[in-house]
Amino acid sequence: MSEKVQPAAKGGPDVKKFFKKVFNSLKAFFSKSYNIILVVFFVLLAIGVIAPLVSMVWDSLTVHTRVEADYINEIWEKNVKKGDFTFMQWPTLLFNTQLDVGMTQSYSVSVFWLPLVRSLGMALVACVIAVLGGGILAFLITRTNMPFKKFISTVFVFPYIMPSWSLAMFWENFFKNNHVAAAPGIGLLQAITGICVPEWVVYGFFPTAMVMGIHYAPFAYILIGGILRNMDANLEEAATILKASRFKIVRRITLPIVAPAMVSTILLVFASSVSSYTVPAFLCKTNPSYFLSLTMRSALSVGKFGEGYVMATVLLVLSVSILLVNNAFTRSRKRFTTVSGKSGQISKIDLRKAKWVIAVIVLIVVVFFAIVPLFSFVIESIEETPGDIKTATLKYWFSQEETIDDVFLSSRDLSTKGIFFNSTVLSSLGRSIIIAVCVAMVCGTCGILVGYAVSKKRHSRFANLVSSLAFLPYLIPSLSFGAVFLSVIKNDAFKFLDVSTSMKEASAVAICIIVGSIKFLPFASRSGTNAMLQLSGEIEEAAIITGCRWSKRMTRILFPIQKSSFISGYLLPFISCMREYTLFVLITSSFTLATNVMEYFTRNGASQLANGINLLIVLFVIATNLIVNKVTGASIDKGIGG
Amino acid sequence: MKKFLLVLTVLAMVFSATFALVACQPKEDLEGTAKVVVEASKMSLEELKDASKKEMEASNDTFKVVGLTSVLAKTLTAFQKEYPWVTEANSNCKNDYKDYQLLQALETAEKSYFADFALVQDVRSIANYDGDLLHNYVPSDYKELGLTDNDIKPLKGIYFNKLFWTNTNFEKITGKKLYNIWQLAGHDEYVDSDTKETVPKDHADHLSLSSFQTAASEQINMSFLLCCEAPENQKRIQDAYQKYYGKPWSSTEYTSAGQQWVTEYIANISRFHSSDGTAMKETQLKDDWNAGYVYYGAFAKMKDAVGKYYTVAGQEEDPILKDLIIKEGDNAGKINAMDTVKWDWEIEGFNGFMYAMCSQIVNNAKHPYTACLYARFLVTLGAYEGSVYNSSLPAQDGTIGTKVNQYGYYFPASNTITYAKGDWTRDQHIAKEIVEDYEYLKDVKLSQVNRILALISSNNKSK
Amino acid sequence: MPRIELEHVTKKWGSFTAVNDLNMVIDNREFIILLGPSGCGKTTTLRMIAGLETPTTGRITIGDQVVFDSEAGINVSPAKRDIGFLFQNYALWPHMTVYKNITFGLENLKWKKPDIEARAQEVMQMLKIEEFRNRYPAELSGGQQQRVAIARTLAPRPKVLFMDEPLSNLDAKLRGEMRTELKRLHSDTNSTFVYVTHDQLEAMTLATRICLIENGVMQQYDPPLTVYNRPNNLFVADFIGNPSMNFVKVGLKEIVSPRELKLDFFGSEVVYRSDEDIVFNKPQEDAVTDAAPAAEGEQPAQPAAETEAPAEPALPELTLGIRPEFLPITDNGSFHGTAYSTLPAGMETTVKIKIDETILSSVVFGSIDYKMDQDIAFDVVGNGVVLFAGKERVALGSVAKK
Repeated sequence: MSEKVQPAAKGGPDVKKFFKKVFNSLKAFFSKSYNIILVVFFVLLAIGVIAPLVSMVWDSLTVHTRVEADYINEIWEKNVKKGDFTFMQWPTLLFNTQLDVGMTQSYSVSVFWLPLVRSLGMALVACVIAVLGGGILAFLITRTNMPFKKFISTVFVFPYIMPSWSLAMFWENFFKNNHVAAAPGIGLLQAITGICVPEWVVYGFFPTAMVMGIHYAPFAYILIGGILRNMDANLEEAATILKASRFKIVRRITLPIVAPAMVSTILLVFASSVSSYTVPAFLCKTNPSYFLSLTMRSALSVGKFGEGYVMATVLLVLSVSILLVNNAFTRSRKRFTTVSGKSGQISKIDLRKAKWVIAVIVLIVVVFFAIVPLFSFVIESIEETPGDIKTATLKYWFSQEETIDDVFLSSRDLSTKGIFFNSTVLSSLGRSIIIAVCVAMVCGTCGILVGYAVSKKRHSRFANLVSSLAFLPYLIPSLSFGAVFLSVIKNDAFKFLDVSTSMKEASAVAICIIVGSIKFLPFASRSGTNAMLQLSGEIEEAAIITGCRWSKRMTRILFPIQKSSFISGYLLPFISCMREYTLFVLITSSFTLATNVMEYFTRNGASQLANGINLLIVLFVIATNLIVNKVTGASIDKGIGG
Repeated sequence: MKKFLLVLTVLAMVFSATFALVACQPKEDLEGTAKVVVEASKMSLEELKDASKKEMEASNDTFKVVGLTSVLAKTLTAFQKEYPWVTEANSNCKNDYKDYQLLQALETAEKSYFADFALVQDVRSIANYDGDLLHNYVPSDYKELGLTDNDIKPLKGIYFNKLFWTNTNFEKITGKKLYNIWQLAGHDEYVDSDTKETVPKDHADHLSLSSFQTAASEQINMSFLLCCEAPENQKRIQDAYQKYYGKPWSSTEYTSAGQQWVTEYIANISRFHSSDGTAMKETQLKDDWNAGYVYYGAFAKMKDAVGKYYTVAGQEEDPILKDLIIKEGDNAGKINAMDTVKWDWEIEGFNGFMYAMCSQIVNNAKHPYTACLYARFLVTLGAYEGSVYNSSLPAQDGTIGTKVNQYGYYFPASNTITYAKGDWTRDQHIAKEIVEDYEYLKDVKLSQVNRILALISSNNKSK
Repeated sequence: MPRIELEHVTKKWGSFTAVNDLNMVIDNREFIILLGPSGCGKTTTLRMIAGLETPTTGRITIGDQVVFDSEAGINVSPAKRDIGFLFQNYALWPHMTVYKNITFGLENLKWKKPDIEARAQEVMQMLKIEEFRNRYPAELSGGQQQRVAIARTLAPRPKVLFMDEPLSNLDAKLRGEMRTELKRLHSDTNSTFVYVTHDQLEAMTLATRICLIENGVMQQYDPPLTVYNRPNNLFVADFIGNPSMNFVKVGLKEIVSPRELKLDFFGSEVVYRSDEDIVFNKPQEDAVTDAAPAAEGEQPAQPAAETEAPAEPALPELTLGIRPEFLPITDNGSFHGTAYSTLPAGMETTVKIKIDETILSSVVFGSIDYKMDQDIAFDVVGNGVVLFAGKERVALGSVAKK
């Protein structure tokens, strides 16, 4: 017995010393506000992000139905039952050589591989369009003396504000013509000019890539413009003095500096395009299984959950690998401190006479994609007979009586009065605004905190981990995300959030705020991180030395300096939330949000009201943007930093 | 000491044996919701009402009804009137799911309470979830309620159907009638890519333009195509073949006439419409007026056309439209959109697909008896009077309103409910259409589904 | 008052050691300059003392207060160390006016309003920036921004002032002016200054003591002239002085006595005489272990005067370090070379003399111009010629041609 005690006694001081050391290092660790932030967000994100991800991957390794089990047993000679864990879902989708009568390619090729290749191609083309379009515009706006800058800059972000599928709808309605068999009716282009574009312009790969690219080009513009605006012009001027040609400067100096923003854009556009469902659904009328997102949804729709989740996992893996590439890229990059507390001026390139030509071209493009769709929403919200301007009426806006005579709609507790007197529309719009504002507040603030912590611990793996975690929600398909939270609120502990209780709309609002805050955090954390990375650490240190509290440093020093970037971090989640549908659809009723009501009206033949709501959403966001711009000087087009 | 040990051992053995007995108590065949539903199926209406009342009074939760159609909310209101212990405060209806969303949402019922009653479309999903997430209730008095044996497994709630329709201009544009399903199969004239020779169309009456909502996302259309391959439907498809081609059907390539029809029909689809509602609108669209499409879509969407009137400014002299212009009344000078849709073709083979939404009791329901009571209520006249009857839609003969079943609306599962003059009855629909077959669909192999998916994804008709 | 003491301070980033076991004492009212090439750890040292960086191990004391101790887990925040910090890029807050920049810190210290106003007025006057009071940093020139930054740093009357290359962003003239003013400021404010620079001239002209660091290791910590005249090693000798010290590799011909050697100097035999015994260290001993104790005792490490016979066989390589001013050009000089290049600067002229394959610098008072490749004769004078064995200084002495 005594033998046992001795080592312990001996070890006593050592143990004490050890614990003291641990205690000291913990104390030192948590005395830094950024470490606390990192730990808190790590825990929150692990729950809110990792859990859904794991459940999704798990679903791709589970036998979901009896039919699925039978099929796996049949082709792989296994003996699995419903509910079993299996890897066979993967080969069942990826290497299935089934070639039945009438089939020209094997099942895997036609349902998985071809759509995958098309999706990848489409996402890449969308990236190119977004980066080129947004990048060139960013360059023209920040670096040249092109006229109409203010107008172009303001209007160019509209396509990003609109729901992407309304842009797809606009594309179809504009280009369709009676030479394209799959298109019902004729579009604006044919009606005005008589020009009939070939089918590939209206449906399939090209228009999908275009619409996704255009929808996200403002994003590229915002990101790249932010850097160009803040970049020290000396960097370029130095090269000019070294006799580098204009082209060489762009290629060797400007491009590498905006490269991180370009990579961020590519990452975001790629992830969104590759898993986008609504846009392809509109623009693939000739082949409804053209892209992987479509075949994924179809697998889920026809009850082939296993295959559906395998595809969802593949899409996720693609996005995550791009995220990893992005991380590797930014890690090896030198830290660009563009706001150093030292002044710098930017000189503009004189385009001379070309400026008018360029401006006009840019104006035409911008107006076509940003103003014309709005105009078309207006038209479609006043035409009693769609496509017939002679039936224009304002009743869908101002009538105090029911505007749609439809037994289906009237059998519901909803109003079809003119939008300004429509309780269903107005209350849903109110809820949308409440949710968007709350989500923006939560995301924006968290984004700044994450950005702060990550920039302070830039070289630490832990910070990189938290930063990546904060980005992951972007990569999880919205519908899966909603589904996971649906199962969470069915849990008794979260009963109070269940949308089917008597407090249903309030509960729906609460759960939407939670889900939205996680899903849209990436926007804010990106802009927060970028903004913080731009600030040289000394700006804060100068305040630390004066004995300024952390909270005061944040509110009095850091926030005001990068105000515009941070406010963008609030605006982006706000906008995304206002126009989100898929994410919330499982956890809301048909009338909770403006987008719910809009979708419901579209589906049930009240397209005038639906278009009116769409217009209201877009105008509301634009107005918010302008007001924020006037009041704070920040706006989303002014950049969310590098 | 030894004795003590012995006693101890014996005690231990007895204890563990008891424990084992308790633990391995022979399980009853059914438990939980499944058991309750079986019991409810044996109850009379009065017993069921008592059980429901008792259960609602004991519960502090709401009675939850989920589904895909607005009819649920209306019938829930009627249900509350009939059975006053269910009130607006203690019941809730969420009926705006799309089919895949409802199925995804139902998954949560595996472990916890999600809802009490679900009206589920697509019997293949029901087959998957049967006895697991969903339980089938059969009213003990189903025969008195006007249901047949075909209506109870699973218990039908509301019948729907999808039909082939065209616009009024169709015959004039194509110069053909739609009279045989094989017109939609076969092939148009094409140039063979190997021989560079032009292959003529397989039949003079071939129709090359069809609009279909993809079976890749619409389960009902998948069920339709699958049922076309069901053995019981082969005769009508073969007969149609015989009439169309003038020879009996035979093939070395295809295993059935239905399979051949499905394969060729998919290859012949030139537009995949996004929803049947859209397709209905396209039928009426002036711009699509001269295309000559055969649309396939939900008959219920006829309601969109019934109450809609269009001005025909500038087209008063259109040879087709001029006869449709309303001469007097509120809508004088306009045309009724319903008049532009032509649907009651006499088509050899079939006119479309008849299917139902089925009443199911959700696993872990907190109010299973009330859910059964509600399922029973759905097939009674009371439910119909509370929902689709009494609305302002006209029947085909123009009768507005009172207690009629109208054009394009849901079909009661019960035979005892009357129809408006001019409407096909439920049985007429069943006779003219392919009928969703639970027994066949529940055993359909995934490879059969995959074949159809692959055919759709390699459709290149319009390229 | 505040005496700053660093004991065994080490800072590591992963496997990279930025500062290695640094020991240093800074006395009250000193003007200490941390000098060294970029990346040597001098800024890290400064930031550790200020509390902006946390050392990996070690202990830092300011006055009587231990502000950092890795053992005891003490880490006082920068705000509580009563210091001022002047950043290289000034770190002015771009969204605040000059006045706000200056007074922000005072507000944080809960000064009374009139005091703040008075103090701001005082420092602005001191730095002649009153007229910019309401301007934003972006509206000021570099020199003006610099003054604002200094004003902001001085405003709370810190007892210790840290400066991180504060003049490096200024033009040469302004830098010269600011140097003069900084020196005055030092005596006016009665504060201790710790200053980081890589400019040896700045260090020579401003410091009371220079701390020379290379690769995270202190090389010498002495008053400027000591560093200049008695460099501890080749690195210090080379780093200090402009033009740099001339290094001539010499062969040892004979150890005449402990204080006298015969050397081979560009082919001719010379006698090197020192006032002290010449003691050779073992060649294995490297700079690190040698320099550290040198820092502790505030005197440069002196080769012990104790009699220890010069090591015979394994002698390290010998180098003579000759300051350019010890190489006068005279018509009858003992050594001959050619004029490689002449760099007249008005007051003095730097002549580059090529001898064999080596180029030596000589500084001559006044303006002279030699033709390229013209023959030049020169002498080696004075007894400040440094003898290095390996990298270490072993003696100071004179060179005479036999």
